[in-house]
Amino acid sequence: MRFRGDGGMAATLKVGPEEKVRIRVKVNGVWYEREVEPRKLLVHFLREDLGLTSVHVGCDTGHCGACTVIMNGVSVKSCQVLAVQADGAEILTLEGLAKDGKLHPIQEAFWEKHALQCGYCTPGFIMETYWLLSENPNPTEEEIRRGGLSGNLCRCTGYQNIIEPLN
Amino acid sequence: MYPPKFGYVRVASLEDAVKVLEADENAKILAGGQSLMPMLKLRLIRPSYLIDINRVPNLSYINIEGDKIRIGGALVRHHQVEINRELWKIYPALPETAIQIGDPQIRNLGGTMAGSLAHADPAADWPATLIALRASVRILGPSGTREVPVEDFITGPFTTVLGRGEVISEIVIPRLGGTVKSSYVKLERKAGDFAVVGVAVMLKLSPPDGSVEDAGIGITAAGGPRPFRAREAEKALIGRKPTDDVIEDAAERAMKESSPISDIRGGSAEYKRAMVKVMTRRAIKNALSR
Repeated sequence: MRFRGDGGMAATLKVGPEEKVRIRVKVNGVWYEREVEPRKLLVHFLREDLGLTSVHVGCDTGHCGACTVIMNGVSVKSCQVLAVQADGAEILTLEGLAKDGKLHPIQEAFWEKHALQCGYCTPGFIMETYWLLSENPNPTEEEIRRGGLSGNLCRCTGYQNIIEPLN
Repeated sequence: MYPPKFGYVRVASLEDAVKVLEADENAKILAGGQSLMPMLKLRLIRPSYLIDINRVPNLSYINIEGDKIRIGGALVRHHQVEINRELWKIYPALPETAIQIGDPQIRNLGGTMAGSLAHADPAADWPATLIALRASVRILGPSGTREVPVEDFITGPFTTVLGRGEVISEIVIPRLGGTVKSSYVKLERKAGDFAVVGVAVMLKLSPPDGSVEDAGIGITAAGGPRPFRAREAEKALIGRKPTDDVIEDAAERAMKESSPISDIRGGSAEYKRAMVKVMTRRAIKNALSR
């Protein structure tokens, strides 16, 4: 399981509802150590504690995918994961994609094909695309629509242009 | 939305989880958390502690043996079932169920088969398929282990036979020899939604004439309080060649055995009953076409 091998993290732990937990998380290549309440969601940890505001809160119920990040190599909805679950994990957000001032090819493609209208859902779509292409480098349109991107919603309904960059 | 305050326990074994659960009836297991998080945010539950079992070793195996498949531990994610090539060959209904649950993000790290069973949403997908395949749930508790058929495991909406201090340790699916076909067909309002009606079918055919030697039919979202096994529909198939008339008869009986309720997940009871017939017919035909 990809969850293991997270060396150094406490295998057992018990903290009360009023206590905080010290967690260590590698985000976009940098290790951060912070104290969090057990109930803190990963999305709030990334936005509020680390200032990574590309991770959007959309529906907050696990439907829309605006909060999608890569955790230990797989895409997750960070509003459905506790920060304490990410203790020892490696996380990639949109902020970690561009290198040396150069956009990631997926970002380039989204730009090129105008795959956004208001842009709110875009970070989530890009991170889900990143995961989809890591699993399946040449997805068919059916695989993109039915499988890959079915967990991300665009309320501007610009899906045609969001599928385009992947083709 | 923020979850209410709770404590957090990270355990290194399922036995330790049992001890915490036994000592504190308000503690809850955190496996994938994909049903738990929404319940917490909506304040439908207020657990004292969450028991995180995600770092317990050996809880995410799929062991394919001669006479059974053991889906092991509480942490087998839907995605693992979805991508297992052996399962596509043996019981395609299993990965076919997995790919129809939620969306990729939910299946990846989140949702687990055991968690879905323990949560017992009356419109969940797994119960239909596991009932059709005559699977059982192995339960670890303070006084050891016991095994309960999936059919009896879920007793009502969000209610199971799990007692205080008990956790699911494994799901066991018997393997029938010979020519076995299976399928899960789901009607949903939109991609990734809960089932309006879901029907799983398992058929064992006898080689000389292709007649049905054994059949299993599990139906979700249409049994009133819980998923059910459509026994009368199974009987209509067993011993017969699955012609269109025989399939129609089985689908009709499944409809008569169902007792859906009207709700916001797919409309009126009358509509759902009609859909039980349609989905049963499709599931049987889909299984036979494999």
